Formats: sequence, structure tokens, C-alpha cells
Amino acid sequence: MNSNHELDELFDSLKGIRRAEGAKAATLEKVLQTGSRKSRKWPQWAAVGGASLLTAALALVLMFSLLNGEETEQPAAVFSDMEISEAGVAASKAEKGFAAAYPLETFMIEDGTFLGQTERFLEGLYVTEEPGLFTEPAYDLKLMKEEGGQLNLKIWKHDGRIFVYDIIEQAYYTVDGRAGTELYDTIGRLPFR
Amino acid sequence: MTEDDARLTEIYQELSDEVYKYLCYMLKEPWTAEDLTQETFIRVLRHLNGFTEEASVKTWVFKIARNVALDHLRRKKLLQFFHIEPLFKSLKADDAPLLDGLVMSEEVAALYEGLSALKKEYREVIILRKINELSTRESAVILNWSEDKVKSMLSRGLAKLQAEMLEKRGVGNEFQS
Repeated sequence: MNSNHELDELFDSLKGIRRAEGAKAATLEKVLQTGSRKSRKWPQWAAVGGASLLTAALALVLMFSLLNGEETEQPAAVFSDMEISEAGVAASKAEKGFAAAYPLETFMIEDGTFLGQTERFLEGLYVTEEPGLFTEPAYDLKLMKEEGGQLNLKIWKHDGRIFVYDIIEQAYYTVDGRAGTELYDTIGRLPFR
Repeated sequence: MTEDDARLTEIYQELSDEVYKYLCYMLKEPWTAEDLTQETFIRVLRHLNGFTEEASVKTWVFKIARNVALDHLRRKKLLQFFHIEPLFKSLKADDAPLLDGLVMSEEVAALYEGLSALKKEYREVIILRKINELSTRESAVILNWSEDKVKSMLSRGLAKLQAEMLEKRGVGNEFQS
């Protein structure tokens, strides 16, 4: 008996895992119940809260830029050109068939507080595999935490669409304008070129 | 039952056990796999109208399950960072009661723990190829990798897994050819 065969036999054992009795039917029922509610809008306070956080953070970034005499249209040097180029190339290779099909939840951090509910502010953000180009002016949004935690986003506009890149997680998002959220309006008012 | 509900039910009956299995091993948390299976199919239902059939339903659903898993891992990382939840324990053979249906022989336990110890990229390609029995092509679509990368990562991952098994329990030397 060769080694691969023996290992495959062990994998066969792991395939035998079963769900708890009744779990399959119960989960399906919950999925259908959730789906039947059709519109799964998040509470207004969550959307407004999240948008307000972003607005405040963007205001800080803009204020900081102005105080330092920088033109806000210029991207900060978070990435080297090489890193940006590689990220762009890798992303351009991504399969487009799934673009914008997968909603992704993430987090906002404010003054060291983890705001679990505020992840819902990203109702209007969808992960994308069609991130556009990094060659256009972008804004860097950094939310720092004393202990060292941070959320680093890069926001830019390409072909009329707004994209967000989470530098730490290396995940791309696009802002879905149809959501019509305050978040979208806020980002949309930035003086992108 | 609406047309979407009927279609969802059909997809669910066909794929939910496989999705559960994937999430169970991917997250190393059998106790949350059912919840995340539910979340996966809620997302499937929500986006069913937008599914263009350009890809197979199976790879589409698995890709959504993968996103759900990655969301969960990110969330867990942040929760740990802020000490809101205690560190999750690694998957151990002691979790066997949570893994209904497994006969936990010493070899299976070693495989189980070894798999848990692998880095995410190795773990997910091994789960998709060896446990979910997806093809190289299907795995490549789900992982957004080339087929060559799937093959090389699988090969490296299996070698690493055998090394882990040997180190942890002294099991696996019989696999060395």
C-alpha cells in the first residue's frame, strides 16, 4: 500500500462528519424565513452611525492634509509604486464573473472601541475583484488605536466608481451607489479628480 | 414557496452538507459551522437573482462560503485583539464529540490536528481537494488561483501535513515513501 493511498484513506474518515440531527432542515427553514423578509435593511442608526464615523475620520484626514499644506488629491505614500503595481496586476487577473457578487462585512474602529454593530455600515460596500487602477489620486484613511491596532483604507475613484482597498486585509471593496447611503454621499463628495 | 425559494432549496439539499464540512474544517470550529452554513445560504438566496450561471453553482456557493469563512476569521482576529472574547482553542481531537460521525482513531486524530496546524492556504486547498473532493479546476476557481498553483500548494501542503502528523503524534512515518 503506498503512502498516498493510506493518507487518502484517512481523509475518507474525515469525510464522514455529520451534522447534528435535524440541523439540516432547521437551517434551511431559517434561511428561507430570512429570505422571505426580502429587504434586510439594517437599522437606520447603524448606517448613520457608521457613516458618521467615516465622515469624522475623513474630516480628520482632510484637516491633517490641509495643515500640512498637502493637496488632498495626492495619494499618501502608503505603498511603494512597486507594491501598488503588483497589487493592481494581481487584482486585474482576478476572475470578473464574480465581481461585486459577494457582500463582505468588516469593521470600524473608533478610539479603541470595537463597534461590532457598526460593521453594518458597510451595507453599501461589496467586495470586488475588479478594483480598477491605483494610478488615480486616492485618499488614505487611517484609524489608529493606541495599542497598535489600525484600520487602513485606501479610497479612490475609477470610471465613475468608488473603490476601497483595505490595506491590512488586502481586500478590495466597491461602494454600491444604489445603496444611497450617507456613506456613499460622503465619499462621493470628496474632490476626486 | 417562491421560485427563488424552490431553487435555493434545491441548491441547499445538494450542497449544504459539503459546505458544512468545508466550514467545519476550515474554521477549526465545529460548533460554529452550522451557523455559518446558514449565513452562506442566506447570501446565496440574497444573490440568486444576480447569479449569471457563468460558473457552476457549486463553485459559486463555495466561493460565498469561503467569503463567509474569511469574514469570520477576520472578525475573530479583531475580537481576540480587543480581548472581547477569549482566544479560541485550536482544533484538537478532544473536540471529537462535536464532530459527529467521525471514528477518531489515532491516525485520524493525528490527521485532524495536523490539518488544524497548517497555515490557511494549505488547509483550504487540502480541504477542497481531499475532503470536499472538488476538482483542481473547481478549487482554482474558488481560491482564485491558477490550476498549477492549486497543484503545487496541494503537494506542499500534504508534505507539511505529514510532517505535522509525525511531529505531533509520531504518526505519518509510514507515509514517507
